[in-house]
Amino acid sequence: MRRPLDDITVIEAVRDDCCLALRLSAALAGRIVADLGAEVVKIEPPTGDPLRRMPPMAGETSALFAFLNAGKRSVVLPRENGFATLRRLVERANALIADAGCDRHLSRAVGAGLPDDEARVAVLIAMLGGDGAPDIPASEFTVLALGGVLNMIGDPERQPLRLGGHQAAYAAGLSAFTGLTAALCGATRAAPEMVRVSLLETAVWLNWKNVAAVATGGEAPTRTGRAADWPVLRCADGWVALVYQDADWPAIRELADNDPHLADPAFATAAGRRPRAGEIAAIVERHLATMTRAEIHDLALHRRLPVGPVASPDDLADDPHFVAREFLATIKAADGHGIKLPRLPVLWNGAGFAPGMVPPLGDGAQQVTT
Amino acid sequence: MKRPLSGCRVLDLGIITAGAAASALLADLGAEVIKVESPSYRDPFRAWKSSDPGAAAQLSPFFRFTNRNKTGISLDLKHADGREALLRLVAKSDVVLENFRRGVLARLAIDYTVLRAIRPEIILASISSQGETGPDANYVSFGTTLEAMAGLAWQTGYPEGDPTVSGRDLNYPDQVVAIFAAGMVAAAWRHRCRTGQGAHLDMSQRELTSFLVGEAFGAAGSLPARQGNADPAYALQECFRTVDGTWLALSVLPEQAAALDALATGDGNRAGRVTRWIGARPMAECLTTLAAIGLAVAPVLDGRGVLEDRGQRWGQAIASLEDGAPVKGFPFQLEQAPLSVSRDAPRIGADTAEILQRLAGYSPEDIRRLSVDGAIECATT
Repeated sequence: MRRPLDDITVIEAVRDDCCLALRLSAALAGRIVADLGAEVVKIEPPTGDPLRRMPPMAGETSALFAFLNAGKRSVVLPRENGFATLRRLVERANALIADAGCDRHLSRAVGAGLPDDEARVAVLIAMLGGDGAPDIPASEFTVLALGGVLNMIGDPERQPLRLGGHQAAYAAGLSAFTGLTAALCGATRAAPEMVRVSLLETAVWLNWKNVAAVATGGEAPTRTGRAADWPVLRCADGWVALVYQDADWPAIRELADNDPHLADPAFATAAGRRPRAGEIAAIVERHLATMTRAEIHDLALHRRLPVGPVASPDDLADDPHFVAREFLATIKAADGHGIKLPRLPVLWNGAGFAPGMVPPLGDGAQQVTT
Repeated sequence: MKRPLSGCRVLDLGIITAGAAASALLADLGAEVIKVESPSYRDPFRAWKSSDPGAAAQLSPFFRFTNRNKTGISLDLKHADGREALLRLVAKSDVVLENFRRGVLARLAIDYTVLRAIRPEIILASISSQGETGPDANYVSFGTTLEAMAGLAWQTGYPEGDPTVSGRDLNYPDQVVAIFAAGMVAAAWRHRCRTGQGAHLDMSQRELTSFLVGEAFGAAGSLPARQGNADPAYALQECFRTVDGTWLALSVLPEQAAALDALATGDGNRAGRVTRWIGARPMAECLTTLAAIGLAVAPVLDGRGVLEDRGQRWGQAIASLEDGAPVKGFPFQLEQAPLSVSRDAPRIGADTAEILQRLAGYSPEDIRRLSVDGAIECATT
């Protein structure tokens, strides 16, 4: 099958002193369009992208770098005339993915050397949005603080928590991907379209329900820990997220071996259960202690209960559902070893987009000379 | 300026967040989005409103947030004539987007095979919990279920503590999929414009959530579990309580640690010294002093604090309707063809009559008959 972006060339070029979060965002957007068929040229400093040395590691190789850069080519700019070389590459590309500190002349030069009917797009990613210059330095973590995300996660009496991994950067990477792909559909024009992405705008957009609650006159929600409507509870061999809707309550009672404590008439309605969610969690947890995640999974599937056993990445490597959908692929890393990566989370007419190879540093050198 | 998706007509069967927010983003990008509901099945978000007197007559705020920029029609897809009306619209549309439980499209006899027979170049965008195929395809899930099953919850939490989820008020997997799905529809639309070919996009929210912790799979076996707020790239990253009792988030790169140590002096380890230093000072002083030495620092805001920051550190993520009501804004912005919100969310069946006449060839007489038969529903004006 022809990949949908197989006619597109993208230069992914963040500045050498660009912060980690923007590197991650730009790289994720680049990875997605590479899987969709675009030719993505990643510009790296002579010592390589710092992500090449970032954990988690798979032996000598960074699993982080491998995940984010599969399917791209790597180019190191020559020491002399480096910027002129970059500019030449950018002029011949349809799109540039860069950090917002990118030289203005560079972003305006996207596709300048292409025929008039070709799409031209520059994606510029920043930490914070708004109109003014950023008043404070930012990280992924502080973006989650400003976006109201940290406030929602963890126990109310303890410090707020971040989400695992790099969600602030990757969510903005999704914004960059969508902004770029949509802009490629736009009419061709004399000047390139500028797609403005910021980690904070994306975080606030994701957290809209909390903003909406306040904007429409309600109280600001906050984290509730184990007293959440849907808590994470222990079971015999791990944990399970106890998720259920009103109609599922009888099935939850069955899951808890029809514990007489749950027969309390106050628990018959969602409104009655909410203030005592912590109590319900403790009762159900006593019964889950005898069940394994596999047993809970099978019961949930059978009874159509939205209860979710907690899986680790290790568990998922041979999860039957992921195996059936060929979600994890093993590809060759720069050191020649195999490394497990997820494919793009979409099947197109039933087929996945297999991720490409992880580029060794400078493997796309001929891109510069030709 | 021509907008990126102008000329693309979307039949939005999406409900609650994942589907409805994806098609809202397509509308923001210039697509014509027609929200399709049924007399017997509304978007459940319509019912999420306060019990205040007067609220009953108004649109639910959550529904308004997620369905602005769309027109709305109501067709009973279980009624032969209602289904026929939908199929006539499919013949004039480019995208059908849905996030029903798996099996619903087939039961309504409007699955991809049927749609493609009517409109060969149709793009069917299916957003589901687990995807169309595989042993868990019928596993019922909400966002929290998916965080647990995808590997995200396992990595989120206090060190030595339980796996942790983003919770119902944030519901992370439902939000991110809306951005990704809109991007995939744009890719499919571009492909269709180039090749004339449609596609069925099978998007699994569980897979997306796993994709967003994608580096974990390559390192499985050696991956540390929950690390709280710590990150290996930072010498220190944690929330600290100020003397005001509010939380402050701080990230300190290895090369910045010396400057912080010069500030937070005394005995004990760095985290302890910083805890004491921040714990003795008000938020404003902490922010100014720590930012002045280049550290990434921020107050931990709740929804109110985030809203108060509107126009300062962010400005696009929430938009406003003409009457000033806040609605969902944009996760990114385009300079030449800006995303904008120009219409309120539709009332039930607000545009049924107009759209069936304009696109599906029904006469006012036909529409009256279909309405009387209960196959369609038109807003009473």
